[in-house]
Amino acid sequence: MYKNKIIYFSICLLFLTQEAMAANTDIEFSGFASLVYAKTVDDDEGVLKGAASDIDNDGEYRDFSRLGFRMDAQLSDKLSFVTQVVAYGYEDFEPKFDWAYAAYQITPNVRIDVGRVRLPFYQYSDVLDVGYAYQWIAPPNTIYNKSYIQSIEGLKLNYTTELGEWTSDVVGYIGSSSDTLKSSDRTTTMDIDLEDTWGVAWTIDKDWVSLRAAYGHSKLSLDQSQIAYITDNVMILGDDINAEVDLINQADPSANIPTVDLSSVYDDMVLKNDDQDVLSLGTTMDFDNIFVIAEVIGSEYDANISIHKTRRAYFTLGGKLPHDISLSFTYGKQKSYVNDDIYENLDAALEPYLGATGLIGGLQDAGIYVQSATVEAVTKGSQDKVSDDYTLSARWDFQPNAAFKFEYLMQDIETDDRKPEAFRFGIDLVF
Amino acid sequence: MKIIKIFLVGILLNIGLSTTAFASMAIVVHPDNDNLISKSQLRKIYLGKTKTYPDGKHVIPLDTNTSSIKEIFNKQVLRKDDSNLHSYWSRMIFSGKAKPPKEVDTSSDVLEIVSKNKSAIGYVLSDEIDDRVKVILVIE
Repeated sequence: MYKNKIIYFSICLLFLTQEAMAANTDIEFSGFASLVYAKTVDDDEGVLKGAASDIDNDGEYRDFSRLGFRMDAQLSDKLSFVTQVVAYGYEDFEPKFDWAYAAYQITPNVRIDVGRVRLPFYQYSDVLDVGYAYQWIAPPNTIYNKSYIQSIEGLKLNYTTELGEWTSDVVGYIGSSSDTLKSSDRTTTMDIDLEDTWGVAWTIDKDWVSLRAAYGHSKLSLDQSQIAYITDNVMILGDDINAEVDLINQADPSANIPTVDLSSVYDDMVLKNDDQDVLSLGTTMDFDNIFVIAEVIGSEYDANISIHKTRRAYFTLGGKLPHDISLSFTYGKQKSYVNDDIYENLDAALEPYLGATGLIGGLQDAGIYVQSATVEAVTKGSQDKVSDDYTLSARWDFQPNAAFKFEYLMQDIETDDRKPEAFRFGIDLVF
Repeated sequence: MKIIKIFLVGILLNIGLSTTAFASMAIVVHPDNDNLISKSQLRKIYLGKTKTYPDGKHVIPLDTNTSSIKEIFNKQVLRKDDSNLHSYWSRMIFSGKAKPPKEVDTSSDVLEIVSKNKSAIGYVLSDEIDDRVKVILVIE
């Protein structure tokens, strides 16, 4: 499916490039590259969770490096075509079309983009892959987790206007997307679908400050084959109980024990076409030699065993030194909340049978307890995550289009009682 | 925590960038262009935040490769040093929001283009202007 899309976009690209050349239109090529090495300090503390890939004690160069090319073809005064191809090291540098859209400038202030466009959920979503564009080696992991869809097929409306000294930039979008994403430990893949995706992002900025607010909504579906043994077992459990109840009722019709229905519990655990809402607030401030970057995100999901509600934030304080060197400290915090409803609903549904040892065999009764405990443990284990991230970053722009960066990272994972530390360094280029 | 303390001390000891003395700079447009702009509006034009003159007509900003005047313009008008500006434009280009101004080699090229194109705007040193262009703002 994805290869078909690549072929489709390649043909479009070839066609448009030829058209543009035939029409003697303006074509601009640009690109970026990030070459990064990362390693944990102490093997005993385990891996440090990274945005795209975990950092381990073996040290890794390939997984954190990437290369991108962008083509802007100005087909007429108002019409242009843009495509951006990125090859990620953790995907074996297989080229991926992150952007491919036609842009039409309706008025000097209004532009519509149609095609594959970036999902502007967060402050740095548009330039997530362009390391040179920001202070860190990678934007804070607390918010910028790459295990998520970055682009949608749809349309984006951009409206820019002036509000006195301020510039206002409103982006509205609608579309859908699907992709297969790898977990940060690269061991598993997950199919993810976003349907009915829409949202709005509003940024106002003036000389030294930028303020941003964004809201996004979509219908989210996840392939949960990894937890199917739990979700399926809930239904099997219901069937087992009802088979037992049927036997008892047949033997003694006066018992009249009701059957159990666990389908609503199952629905709560399976994320299929369920609502996802994301609200984000962000700011950047530049006081000549001191700069501040901050962002806070709230995500809400329909009840689900793996994700339910998250709160994430980071704050960066930095200073600029002579010789194009800047230093910064970033603190990030994230918390995922347990979805109590799932196991509470399960317990409530099973409660009449738990006390019915005399009616349902002891073996079955024990099975119910085991199933209930498993669901509760997995639910809590997968959701109740709290972590604090500390990052010290240094950036040196040793060339006008190249920066060397070094970072020390520490992650305090409360729920795992681990404090992995890591360092990474690399070069970001634009050309 | 020790590393964080060292870092904070480093920030507090941060040394400010020195400013450079410079001759005045003229912002020039085509003689038929009747717009007047402020320094703030000029900054927005050169940072790609606005694509029009105050009268709503399309604006084409011109940059110059002459490093001495370019550096002054970037510091005085855009209030960004070289690395900040490169980082800023990488954000704008790769997010598709704007493209940097067209670059020409010298002030003579700026004057030549501005004298022929009613949408163009450029910057030159005040002692470089001639009667082919109109000055709409002077940066002291």
